Amino acid sequence: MRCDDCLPLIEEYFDGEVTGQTAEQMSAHLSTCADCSAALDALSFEQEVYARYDRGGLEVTPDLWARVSAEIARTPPVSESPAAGRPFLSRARERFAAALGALAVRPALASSLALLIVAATAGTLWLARRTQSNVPTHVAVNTPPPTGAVIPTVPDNGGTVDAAPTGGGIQNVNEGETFHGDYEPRGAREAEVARVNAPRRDGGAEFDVETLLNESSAPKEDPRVVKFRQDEPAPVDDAALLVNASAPAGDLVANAARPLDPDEKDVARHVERAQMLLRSIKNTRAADAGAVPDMAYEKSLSRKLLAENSTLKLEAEVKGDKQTQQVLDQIEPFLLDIANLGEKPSREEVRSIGERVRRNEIVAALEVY
Amino acid sequence: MKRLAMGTMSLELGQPGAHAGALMNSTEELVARVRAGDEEAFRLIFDRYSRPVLGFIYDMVGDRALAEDLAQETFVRAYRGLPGLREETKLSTWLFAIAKNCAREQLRTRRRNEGNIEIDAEPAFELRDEGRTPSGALLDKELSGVIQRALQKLDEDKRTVFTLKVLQQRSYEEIAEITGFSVGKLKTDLHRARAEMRKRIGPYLGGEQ
Repeated sequence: MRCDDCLPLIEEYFDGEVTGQTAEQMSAHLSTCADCSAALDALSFEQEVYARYDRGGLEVTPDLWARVSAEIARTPPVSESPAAGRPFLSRARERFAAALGALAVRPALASSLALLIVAATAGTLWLARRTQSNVPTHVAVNTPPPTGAVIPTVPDNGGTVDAAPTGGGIQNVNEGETFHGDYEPRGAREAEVARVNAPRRDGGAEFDVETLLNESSAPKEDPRVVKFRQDEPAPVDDAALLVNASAPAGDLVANAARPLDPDEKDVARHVERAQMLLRSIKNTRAADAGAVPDMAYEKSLSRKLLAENSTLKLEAEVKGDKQTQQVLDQIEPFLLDIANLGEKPSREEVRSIGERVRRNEIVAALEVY
Repeated sequence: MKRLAMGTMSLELGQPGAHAGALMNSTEELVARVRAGDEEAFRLIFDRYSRPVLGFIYDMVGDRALAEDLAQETFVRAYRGLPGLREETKLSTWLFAIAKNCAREQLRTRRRNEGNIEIDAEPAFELRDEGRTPSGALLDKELSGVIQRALQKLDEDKRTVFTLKVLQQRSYEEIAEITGFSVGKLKTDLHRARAEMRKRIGPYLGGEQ
């Protein structure tokens, strides 16, 4: 492989997305080419810088769950009937299969029905052709609409399936594939009412939705900055918090009300870094075939995290914080395995770590921590 | 103890022991339980995914309060749409797709109402031109500010793929599922986004090297 072939793929290679023979060739080339290897190092360095990106104390507050919880409490339960959750096509297919099953045990009825369908189709086609031939040709000529006439236009979202009944909806086919629910399309106005009615972070006061929607001078304003009625009581959030507090598992509100001390934040940040590292390993595509992407960055990060892990575990032990110890214990074997990868780890080694990360759902578990 | 360099959010929700239940439930189990009417299971889903989802939305819109509102909307939409989710194992991808839609709808509205909308006038971080200080924490804060501002200058598509790949460590396949972009498009966008980001935070990178 030459530099001209290697450099255009260097980002993909760094991202672990180059597999097979190409990855092997790149790996071989990188071990001998200073320029390409410098480009890879630069990407590694950038990634380290981005890993230090901090969203300035952005945190999931208990209020957020309270708001979500209050909003979904207004939503009908998701499991009304076994069939209700399934898409229309799925249910239709089932009914069709049942009907066919019935016909299968009655051949005479099935053949009569088939004849009937053929006859009906032929008749319909004949009629359609006859009607078409009777249409005067001038009907097809386009006439311009009268002045001021309203010409229907294609909706903004192009008619794609909208899982969520607000605004522009789902924007692409791929997402449409994932949303196969039986959504009842709601009008834009209704959707707006639902969205704006959602309890807000700012004290739970309700927006006056009707006023908001009817206000002709409002179009320039974003609904989020519209004034809300101060004279309304603010029961929503409070109620939700009470519900929350009485929830059986995980005293979320009680726990979240306490700010984290610096040591706990250190643990949280450590866990966050470990989580990103493990996700990166999990997503390494070397499992398919071919050579293993360069793991130098992961190894070096893993070594740093391992050192931190030991320190944090010691601190947790001194404080008698068993939960933290448990989480750090969970992380440690993965960090050890990554840190101990050889200079050129085999496919199997990386795949096995990635597999274990996947199997243990450790990434998801760390997200919860 | 030395403050650790990286971090995204302080984790009030992540108090040790608060969510032992979530650790023991697979995604499929949680989805099945929500479908069976167990709202506590949805709370576990929220606990598991709210942090990355909120972070992603924040990176997209660059406004904390708005990010919270949109995260709320994301989970409400998810709850309503959960019966229609076909591949339970892809819950995370699906949630990010909803979050991406919420954020993009908001960005479109913002563009339409440009100049008439009151979003946080204050930047997420106060950037001071005082040169480098010895404090690592302050450096990180400043760096984060630079990154955040550079992110907001990327166009939507590039910001989406950059955030998902570089900050959220998603695979190309997952990003394609979340965004609906072809792998070719996302590769191009990612390459350009990296180049733009490099250009904008270049002086900072140079200082580090």
